[in-house]
Amino acid sequence: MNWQDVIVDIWPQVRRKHLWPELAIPLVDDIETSVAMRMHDKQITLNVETCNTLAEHLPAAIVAEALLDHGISHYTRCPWDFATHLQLYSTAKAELGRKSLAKLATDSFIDVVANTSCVKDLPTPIPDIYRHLGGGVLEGALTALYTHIWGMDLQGSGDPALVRRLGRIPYLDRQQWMPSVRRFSRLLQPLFEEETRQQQTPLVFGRHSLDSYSPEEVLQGLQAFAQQVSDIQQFRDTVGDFTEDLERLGFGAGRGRGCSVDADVLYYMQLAQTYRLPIRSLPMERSGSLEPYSHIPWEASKPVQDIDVWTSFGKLLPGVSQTWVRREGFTYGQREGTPDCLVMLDSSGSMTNPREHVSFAVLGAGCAVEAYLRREARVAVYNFSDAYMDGKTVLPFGADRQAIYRSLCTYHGGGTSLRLRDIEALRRTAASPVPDLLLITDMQITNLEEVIDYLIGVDGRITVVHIGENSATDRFRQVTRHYPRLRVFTVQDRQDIPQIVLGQVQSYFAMSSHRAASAPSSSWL
Amino acid sequence: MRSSALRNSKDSRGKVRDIYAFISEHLYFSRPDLNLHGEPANATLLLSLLTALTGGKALVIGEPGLGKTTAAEYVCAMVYGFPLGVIWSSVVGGHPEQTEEKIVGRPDLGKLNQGEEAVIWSHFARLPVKIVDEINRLPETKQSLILDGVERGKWEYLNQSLINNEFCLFATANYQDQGTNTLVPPLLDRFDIVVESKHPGANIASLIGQDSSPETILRHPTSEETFLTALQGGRNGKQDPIAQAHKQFAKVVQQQCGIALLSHTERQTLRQDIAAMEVDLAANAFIRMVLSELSFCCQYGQKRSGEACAEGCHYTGYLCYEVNNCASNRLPGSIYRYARALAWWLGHDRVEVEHVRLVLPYAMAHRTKWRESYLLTRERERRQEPLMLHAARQATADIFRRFHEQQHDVMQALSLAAHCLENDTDITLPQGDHPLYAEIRRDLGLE
Amino acid sequence: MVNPFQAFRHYAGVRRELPLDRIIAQRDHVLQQLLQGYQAFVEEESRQLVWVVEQGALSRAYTTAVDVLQDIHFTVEDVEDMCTELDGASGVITPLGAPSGLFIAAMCNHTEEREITLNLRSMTRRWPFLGYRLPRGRRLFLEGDVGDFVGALLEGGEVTVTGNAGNYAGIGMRSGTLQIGYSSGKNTGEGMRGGVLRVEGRIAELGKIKQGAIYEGNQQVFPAEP
Repeated sequence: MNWQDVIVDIWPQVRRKHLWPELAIPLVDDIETSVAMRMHDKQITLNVETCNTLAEHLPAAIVAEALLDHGISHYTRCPWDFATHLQLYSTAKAELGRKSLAKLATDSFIDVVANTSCVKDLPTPIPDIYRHLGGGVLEGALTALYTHIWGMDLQGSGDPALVRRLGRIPYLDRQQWMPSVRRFSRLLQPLFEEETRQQQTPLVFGRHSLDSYSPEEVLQGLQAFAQQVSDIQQFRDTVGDFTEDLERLGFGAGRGRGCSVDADVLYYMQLAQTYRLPIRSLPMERSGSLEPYSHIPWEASKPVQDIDVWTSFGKLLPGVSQTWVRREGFTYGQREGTPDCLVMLDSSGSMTNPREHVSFAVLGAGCAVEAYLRREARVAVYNFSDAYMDGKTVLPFGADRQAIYRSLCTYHGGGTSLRLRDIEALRRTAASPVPDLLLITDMQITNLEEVIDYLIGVDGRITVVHIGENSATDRFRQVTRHYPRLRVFTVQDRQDIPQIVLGQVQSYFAMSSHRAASAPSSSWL
Repeated sequence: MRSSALRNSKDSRGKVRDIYAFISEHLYFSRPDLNLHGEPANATLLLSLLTALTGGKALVIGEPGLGKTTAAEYVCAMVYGFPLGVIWSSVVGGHPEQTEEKIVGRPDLGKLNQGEEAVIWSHFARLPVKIVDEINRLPETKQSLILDGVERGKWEYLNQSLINNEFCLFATANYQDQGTNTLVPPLLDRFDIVVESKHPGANIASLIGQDSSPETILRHPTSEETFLTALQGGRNGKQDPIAQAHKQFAKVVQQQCGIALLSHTERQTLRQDIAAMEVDLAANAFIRMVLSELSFCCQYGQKRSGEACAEGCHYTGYLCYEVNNCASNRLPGSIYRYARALAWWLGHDRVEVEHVRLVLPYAMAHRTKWRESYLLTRERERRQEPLMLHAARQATADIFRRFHEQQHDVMQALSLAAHCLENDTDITLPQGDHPLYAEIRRDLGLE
Repeated sequence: MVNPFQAFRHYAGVRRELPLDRIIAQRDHVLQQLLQGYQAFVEEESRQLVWVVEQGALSRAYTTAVDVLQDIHFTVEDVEDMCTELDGASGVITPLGAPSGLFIAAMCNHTEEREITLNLRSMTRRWPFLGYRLPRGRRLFLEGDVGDFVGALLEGGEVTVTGNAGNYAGIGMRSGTLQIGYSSGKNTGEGMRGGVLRVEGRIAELGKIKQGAIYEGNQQVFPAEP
């Protein structure tokens, strides 16, 4: 039986049925495990052994169509994208507590949703497959569930009370997937545990891993998930379980294999992506001189000195003669770049540990880092607690995002003192003559007065972000209020963060945009 | 009648496919970047071809020297049967000193000196092929002049008019550089599609220039002279010399290249067939979903430039939250035109969702003003095209996902609305979350 | 006027009607009835003065709950869904502790199934009054921890709690069995008049017991072994 030919024959109608998903034509191959198919980065591969087994009971075209319907529905129905997959997994894990059970629960739930969607919306032979698929207790229970909710006898075996309860879950309501997967997981927990103990392949159609998604989809999914979770711990608990897969896709420290994934660093990196700065790269200025711009027909009342003799055919006639319209020319202004930035982050005991809870300080620093790196500036990190007692992490100026975020996520705890000599030494290594300084702290610094004196005296733009309000912040504000290069912001909540980063840099851009106030707005053409 | 029309169409389709194959193999080297039901195609070439066939207006963008203008010239030469030299004579270059006289026509100076007003129309105005090279280097007034003329197919100068029976417009534009003006939104909106002429890759690019100049294939000095003479002598409006010149050139092309060109009648029939192509219900519903997401605003009635959605809007997950302007009424026309043309190209008998999905990014990319946060999210994603096209493509995918989930419910709602409008009052409209449901209720006067 | 929907006039959807749709619709319908019934029950009880946990008030409230449930046909699965709904509810439906527990108890006592299992492990609330007046021939299996007054006024039924119980477990039991997997709180068995109460773990404090038997682990603590 040449299964590839069968697939080539039926592929056009299957694609049409699913509204032309953007998938390559499926392949057929020997798959080592006893699963029916494998999905890797939008390529579906059917297991020839499964196909042959099923073909003993059903026509080949039916077998192929059913398997393809199932595989395609994972791209078109559930889970559709990696963010949804992560959310389902996270919810299942919160219910079940264990990675192995949560993965099995997620995969099972995804299968049920995908199959049921197909059966409801499309003419599909998936039910025929389930009569002959076999499998263990879990697969038997799911087959019994399908019998119950599809209204077809598929000869499954499952506890009727369990099946009745499973049958009350609204699988096709996307809005209720999270509570649904929770109930699903709770009801089937004993079967998941039994299957896990047996260590066989519990689901005949196979498991769903990150291999099903492209690296770009994984990145988008991580970003979306970082925004959706309530706390970093939830992100870490979930994403940490996919460490191996993420490392294989190159999401570890640096690119390439063998680089470990730090879920906390990943969390802040993805979350900081959601805060943006507008970019104006090449300011234009008016040159001050008038230049010919275009022709318009000459009217009798208009002056004659701008008449273009050549295009007027030597005639001085209204409507025939052409006159020049002049406008002020534009030239490029002095090219403005973005200076490098030295980020000084307080990670003393009074600050939130970024690896336990969402730290607005680290998030704000991350947003600033993204803004500078996006504009091809470099960033240095001075993460300090009691710097005099070596409670510090120093990262020289660079553009390595992973290294920068790792430095930001380091938590020292302990006391708070800022060693200004270190700052000055680091500042002098910047490529740009006057780097920006960004200080994020709760101001409970032992040598606060020294810090104030230093910041007042140093060149460059300084942004100070303080977390919360206390007497030290009042003191700081009072002393520095007359210094225009130094701006102070307060952060009480996540919504304050974009105002901070944008505020300082936006005013800088506002100055340059004011100079080019009547320049044409930058567009893509 | 229909079967003979279909036969003609098939022959025409075969000719058009031959033209496409010839240009892609000999003249315009490019990489396929579209997958049409398993058939690879280059978007620039295919969409240019469909533009020429249907009389559309295409904006071709790209880096300098990547074949923006040449692709349009080759396509127009072969679809309309003009030698390249004649096409070149009609191209309007984009520079600030362009005048109406250079673009549209000029007074007959001889007659003018005798007190008689007569117009000598430019080749640009006379020929059905309108190519504007680097349109963003033209001042806005001249851009507007060209686009208004092409919109109506009618050119006016000194109170005289010239009407084009058939025409298409290709405008090329480089990306923003020092000498360019902006294509303002009202002008951008007049283009049906935007497409990028991409670099073909090192391997294919290395083939360029190896052989003798490819243009010689479509150059024929004798034919060109005949055409130019006919155009000059055509001041009395006689078309016969031009028709003769077409036949002569078509014979030359047949002999030299083995390609049969389309006659005027074939082009007309082809256009009629394309325009008559049915749009299936799913495609119809999908287009309605797209239009609703690009125009609807629950707060302000419709999208408007300068009125951004507030945070926490109910429809935050939809495109209406991400766009800052309203879809124009030209957008559905562009979608239908090119979706039909694509369906015809593929030999299908009706327009389906897939055809709409393929053309939609090109039809909406230049017409949509995105929220900055949406663009900046897309900016860092891996892509093979300019950011605006990529954003449009991702937006299309998002809407398609929603359509995929809700198509039956949406079509059911539309069906019920049809009955409601016919005073069938016993029907309860289904509720749904998509903006289209709100639009239906507004159309029924329920909101 | 142009009918912009004309093209869809004859559209007939091809979606299959699955039993799942019917099940979900029925479930939603019953749940809606139960929630409305619960709301009516709470409003009725709120008209009385302060919520007082005394037998007369409890008995009256329970009777009101039974009356509300009379015309609603629900199954044991609906009981579970109602628990989930009340556990996650906020705002309009106020899951007040005691009324919720009584309402659930009334549901348990009047559902057709004789054996009811409620998974309380994932619930945030500790429902009180579960197993209230559970009659003979019914078994209530509660997975997880429960609140106060579990098995109150038990009338011959069997209540099993796999987790901890709150205070006043088995209060006023007449007959039947109450089994608690871990510990119980203060006043355990208060006013008990019969039946058997087994606590596998620790009993914080015994109440004033009239009759019946109470075991703490394997040891009988009432009546105290000689």
